Amino acid sequence: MREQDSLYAQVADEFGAALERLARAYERNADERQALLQEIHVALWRSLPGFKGRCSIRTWVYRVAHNIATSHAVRSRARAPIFVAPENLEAIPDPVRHEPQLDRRLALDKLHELIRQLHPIDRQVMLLYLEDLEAAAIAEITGLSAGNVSTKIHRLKQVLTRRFHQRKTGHD
Amino acid sequence: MTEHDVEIRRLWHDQPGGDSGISIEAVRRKSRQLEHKVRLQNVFTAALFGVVIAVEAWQIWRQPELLERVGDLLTIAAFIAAAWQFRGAVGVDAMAAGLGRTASVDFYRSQLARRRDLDSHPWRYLVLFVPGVTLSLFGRVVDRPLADNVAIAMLGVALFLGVAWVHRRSARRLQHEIDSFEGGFYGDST
Repeated sequence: MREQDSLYAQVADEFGAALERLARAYERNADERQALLQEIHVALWRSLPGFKGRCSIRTWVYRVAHNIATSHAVRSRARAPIFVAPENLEAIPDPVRHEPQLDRRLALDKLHELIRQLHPIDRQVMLLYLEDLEAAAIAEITGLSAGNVSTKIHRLKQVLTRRFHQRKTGHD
Repeated sequence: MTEHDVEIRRLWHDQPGGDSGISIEAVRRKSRQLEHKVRLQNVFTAALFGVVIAVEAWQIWRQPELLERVGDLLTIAAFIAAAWQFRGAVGVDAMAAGLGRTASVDFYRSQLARRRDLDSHPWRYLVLFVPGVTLSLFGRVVDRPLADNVAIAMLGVALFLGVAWVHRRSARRLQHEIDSFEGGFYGDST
């Protein structure tokens, strides 16, 4: 139990902020988001006795977190928007009102909204990419091949960049 | 990395924090609450089955018609069989460790497959109740006008077919999504 607590403290310290960002990207509602974040932390703590070092602790943490978050997304699917492929993302109206000088808050809201509309697997790849993980690490967490991950990242980056560029130039 | 990449990543990492601090005590407390909730759900389910079985048993006691009594007995058997099929939930600790060992694509696929399997075979659960309910409904078939019996039969069949249709439709949608993993862009997930 002490070892589990100590490992958890280390993991929470190292990945706490990333897990919070992950929960934000999955859940718009603040109460639901807090509940999801707690669920992730509890699952992580409970999972640690099963961690035998066959993969890195980072892979373990992200797998637990994304699996819990995906479960949450599947559960709340009925009230959540339908997931879309990246190429269809551009056809969806911008949920955030355009302003000439959008502040960071609005830009962040928009980024979250774009990510939430993605298919769960695309969403995982995008979030791991934003957390600065390289393609091989994303492949280990998701189970996709590194080549597949690279292709996905390329497509997702293009879409996000285009959407953000459109926002700035003011024609969506 | 383009200028836009850098900007988006900076935006991502610079987002204000706030609710990430969860103490070990809070995690332990939540974990105990989870165990309690799971135990409570199991007790509630068992109690619900107990009440239904008790009501059916009481019906057997008070029914004068042999066919209806047999119907109630078969309904009890169906409830026990259904409970048996749903038994053996994995413990929460084993489940948590499994989350770390399972790649997220496989986990997502397994979630969809579990839901699809439940939806694909509604008869697996519904059919158990058919003999008991049928005998209970038609135990007094000779006492009722033919039109009533036909209406009851048609309603029963329509209900079963309706439930099966809704489930099969949902199963097809889930299968379509699973296929996108196995044959499409999400392939090569090993």
